[in-house]
Amino acid sequence: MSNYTDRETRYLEFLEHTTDAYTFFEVVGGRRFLLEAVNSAAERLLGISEINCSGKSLQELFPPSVREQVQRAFLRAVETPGNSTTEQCWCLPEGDRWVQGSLVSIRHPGQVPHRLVAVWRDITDQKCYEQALLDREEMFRRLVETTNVIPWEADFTTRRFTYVGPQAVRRFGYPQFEWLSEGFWAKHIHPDERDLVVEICNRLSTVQNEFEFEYRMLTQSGDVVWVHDLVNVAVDRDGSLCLRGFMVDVTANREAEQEVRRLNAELERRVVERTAQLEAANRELEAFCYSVSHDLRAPLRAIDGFSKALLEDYLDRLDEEGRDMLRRVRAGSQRMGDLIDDLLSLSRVTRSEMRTTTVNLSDLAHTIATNLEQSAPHRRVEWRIEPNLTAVADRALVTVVLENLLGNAWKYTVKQPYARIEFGRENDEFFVRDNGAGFDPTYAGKLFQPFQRLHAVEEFEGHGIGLATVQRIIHRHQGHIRAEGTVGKGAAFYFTLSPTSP
Amino acid sequence: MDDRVILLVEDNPDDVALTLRAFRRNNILNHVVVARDGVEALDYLFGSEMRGLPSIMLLDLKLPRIDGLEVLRRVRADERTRLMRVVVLTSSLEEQDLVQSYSLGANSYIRKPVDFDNFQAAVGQLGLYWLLLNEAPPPTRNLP
Repeated sequence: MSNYTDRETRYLEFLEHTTDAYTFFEVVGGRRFLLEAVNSAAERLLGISEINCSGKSLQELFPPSVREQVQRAFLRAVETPGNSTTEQCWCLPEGDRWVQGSLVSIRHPGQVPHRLVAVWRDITDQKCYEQALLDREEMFRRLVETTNVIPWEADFTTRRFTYVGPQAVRRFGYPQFEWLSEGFWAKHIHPDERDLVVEICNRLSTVQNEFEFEYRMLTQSGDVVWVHDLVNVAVDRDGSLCLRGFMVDVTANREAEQEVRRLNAELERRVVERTAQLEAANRELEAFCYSVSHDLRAPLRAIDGFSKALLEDYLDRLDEEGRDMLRRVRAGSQRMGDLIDDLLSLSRVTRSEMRTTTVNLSDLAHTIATNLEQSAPHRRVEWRIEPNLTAVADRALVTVVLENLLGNAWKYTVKQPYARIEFGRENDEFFVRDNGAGFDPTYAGKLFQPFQRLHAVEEFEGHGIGLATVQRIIHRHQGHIRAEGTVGKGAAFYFTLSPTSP
Repeated sequence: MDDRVILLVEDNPDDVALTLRAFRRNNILNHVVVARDGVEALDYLFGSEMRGLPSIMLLDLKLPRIDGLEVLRRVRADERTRLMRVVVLTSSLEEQDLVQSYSLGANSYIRKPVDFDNFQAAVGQLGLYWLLLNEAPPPTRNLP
């Protein structure tokens, strides 16, 4: 060391202690590079020692993939005067390293370079850091720019966007630079609400840190887009207000809402229409019933009355056959009068207003049974009425039901020596059961139709209206009724007075 | 026995004939005046001719021109006929007719039965009650 001047010593000390790897090459013929010297950092980086390697060429110093990169950079450095830099990734046995190289070619004036100094710095850590930053930025970019929610940033003072996501371009059609131009936002709000929306935004920006509002914007092709804008207000380092936020396209929601409103209005309209139609139909029915009640009975009265007059005033001029005929005329007109009355009461059942209370059906059944027994005191009937059965129903209507069912049972057991009529409850159903004439179950469905009879008039009297009336009343209570029977073995009617399933 | 006129307001000639026959057979021999609609009935009661009030008015509801309920309303609104006996005699058994007739002040409401025997019996009872048993209100002078 003592052979060196102070200056040389300083240089050597620097070279030995710097972490940069210094490599010195002799340039032969402008193309070949032979190692002259390396410092300790270079020995460590390249895994060589100066004693073994001086005089060796690039081929002998570097693995093939590294060598090609280095040679290319060296050749470029030799051809261009002054310094050059290169950044390379070296695949070394101990792992990949990123290196930054500063190359200096040294030449005597007017000659080709005879020496090349390459200083390598390991920048792997820095590279990793940069890559991590890039990855992170990419992640955030994807996060905000791949959904349909449009991110944006704007300067409050100049009212200009400083950034909008590419979604804005896709959704609205305006190119990015237009978005960033002065006054873009206000200019593209729907003119009907432009002033109001701008005013709201200006006011809220100065008093709130966060706010949301909805407005319409126009696309380049003139379509309306409903925007739900979520805004955050921040004070930047220089003290100016910066707005950031997301625009959500809620056009579909708005249209769906409008559709729902439209459908509701439509439904409302239809209900009103139907109600009016029903009311009209009801009025017509009322008028019809009124007219039936009045007008159909008048001619019957004339037929019956004048037949009676004939029988009284012209009795001596009629033989027995003539009298019989007139009696049949009278019977027919009276029967028709009864039919009209039954039809009217059937329609009244449907038209009358329901007033529901808790009704004791057992008491009702007892009352009806007593009335029936008084009507034919000679009959012997065993009544089995389950006590304390109640239902929430219209008392008048449910009385009609029991009168009909118990009356039928009474009627159809007339030929039984030991008649039995039951009223009770099984599961959810009330029932009226008798051991009378019964019916053919094949025709059970016909029982409840008006004017349908399963027995001849001579056998059992009746008009076939009773069960139709009963069914209507049951249905008005949203219940159901069904019949079971066998010829000669009695009939049973099961019914409910509320919508519970059996 | 109240032997004043019976005013029968009835548009159906068959019903008129049958009602007259029922009167006869019940020995109700009062003179019967027939009005064939509401206008004729009101004319009889409030017309220019000087007439005494009928002992009773039998009033059908469904009538041409002015219907029975309107006749009843006007009869009850007029001081002269306010207390006159009015029996509604009609085919209808509709609740609305019953309620309206009574709330307008009808004295009775009788539904004409199809069976003439029943009809005759009803008219007989009507005559017995209103013309024989019931004390009529003091006659109001019919001032034209």
